[in-house]
Amino acid sequence: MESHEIVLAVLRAAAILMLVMGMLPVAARLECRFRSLGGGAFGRRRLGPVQMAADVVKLLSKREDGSGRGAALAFASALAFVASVGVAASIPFSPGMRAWGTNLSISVCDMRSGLLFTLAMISLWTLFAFVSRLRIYDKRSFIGALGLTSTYFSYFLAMLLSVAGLLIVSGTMDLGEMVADQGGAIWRWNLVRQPAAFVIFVISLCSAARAPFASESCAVDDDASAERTPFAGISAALCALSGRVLLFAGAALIAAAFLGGWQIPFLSYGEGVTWFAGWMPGWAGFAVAMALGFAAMMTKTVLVMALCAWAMANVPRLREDQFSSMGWKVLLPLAMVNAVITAYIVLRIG
Amino acid sequence: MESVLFYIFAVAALISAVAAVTRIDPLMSALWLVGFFIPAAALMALLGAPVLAALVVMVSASVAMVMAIFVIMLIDPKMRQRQRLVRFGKILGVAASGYLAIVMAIAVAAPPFTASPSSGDYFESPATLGRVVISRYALPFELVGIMLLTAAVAAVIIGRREASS
Repeated sequence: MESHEIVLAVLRAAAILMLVMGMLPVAARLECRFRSLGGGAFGRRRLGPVQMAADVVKLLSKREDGSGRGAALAFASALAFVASVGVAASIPFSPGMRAWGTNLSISVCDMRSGLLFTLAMISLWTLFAFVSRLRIYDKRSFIGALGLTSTYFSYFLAMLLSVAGLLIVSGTMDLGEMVADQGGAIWRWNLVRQPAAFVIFVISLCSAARAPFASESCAVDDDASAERTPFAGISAALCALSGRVLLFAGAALIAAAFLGGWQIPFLSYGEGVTWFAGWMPGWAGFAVAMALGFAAMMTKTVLVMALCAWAMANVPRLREDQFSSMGWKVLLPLAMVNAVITAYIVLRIG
Repeated sequence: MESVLFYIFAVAALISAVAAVTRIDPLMSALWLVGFFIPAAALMALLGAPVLAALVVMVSASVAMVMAIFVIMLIDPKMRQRQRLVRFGKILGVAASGYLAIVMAIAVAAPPFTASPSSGDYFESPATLGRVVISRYALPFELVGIMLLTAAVAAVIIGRREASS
């Protein structure tokens, strides 16, 4: 690797991290709004960033509990954070442009199997749900952890199979190619081409993302659902943060995979660039197209975030067995049927 | 750059592998096994096989669950007290490790490997990987599937016998 390539890679990763962090207040605001959580305490309303800085100092200086599980808990919270930021790593937030010898876009890197990588990151969430409860020698919390992971798996499988239909239609695992393939025309978007996959994917992602953090157990004050109680200080903050990061990253994933990503409806990227090139230098035209694409992507992402936050707050919680049977008996067969039908149609037409 | 990353991940993988074998608490052992899989996935990504890396991460997440369930269902909690000093399993384990060490030593002394097949997009593209799995390596793939099925059935049977007694 050349040295300027390394610098560029670091800059791109930092840009995505800053984007994720910058969207955290939006995610928190949406969640508070839909869940009627009050939208922050008194101090945060009055003092704003000062209160936030004070909070960070407070969290950093807090002590861990004396149970001697500090290392495992730190591992768990770091895992949750890495897994949620990792989801955002392979999502292209803007169209690419040729610059400094590479294809530059607002993303960490262009992965040939970006969608698979994202799913791998999401699957790490089970580990968090599990590790955070692992060393408590308490049968109830342990059984709660196992129940949680099993519900998580039932939705994760449905998510994987709904992605199968998506892959058959787009023929690629590269999210950048997938966005380019969908194009500006709305009827080419995967939302229209794969409506069943969209519904299954959104439901399972919301359920799977809610599972590790907000427990599905009916008794919320139950020991089995107390996944955050062992955490203190900065680990607790990281856990709370990760839920919001995943809300943003999951919404961006849905926007990229199903809603055309950075494509602006009814506009063609290539035509736009040539139109801009008519009255400004070529690189500026690319930059403007990139900025517009980024704006479109963020608009879609925020809309999906609102949809997910609304659904998570308003859809009534099911009992654990109902929740599991919804995943295994409804979503999984539906996703399977969807994949088979899609494969049949694609084989027949193409 | 890449060799530095390789050594970091290799050391992390080795440490967690050793820890996974030496822990007394089987649950911690399962956790360390996961800790082994993550740097192993990073190593595969370094070798230019990102699809395999992602798959390894996915598998490692479920490995933790499966190990935990095995630990809860199949390991007798009182077993630790009646541990014998030398067991057949230990002898077998030492023999197997010795064999593995000899094979590794031979492999390092005279590497039987040819050049890395990752030139081109052999491992990079999911399509190529899928095609290879169902054509050239179809038999091992099916055998692994049968093995896993057998293991699942066996686990159910062992678990049931424990419950009824």
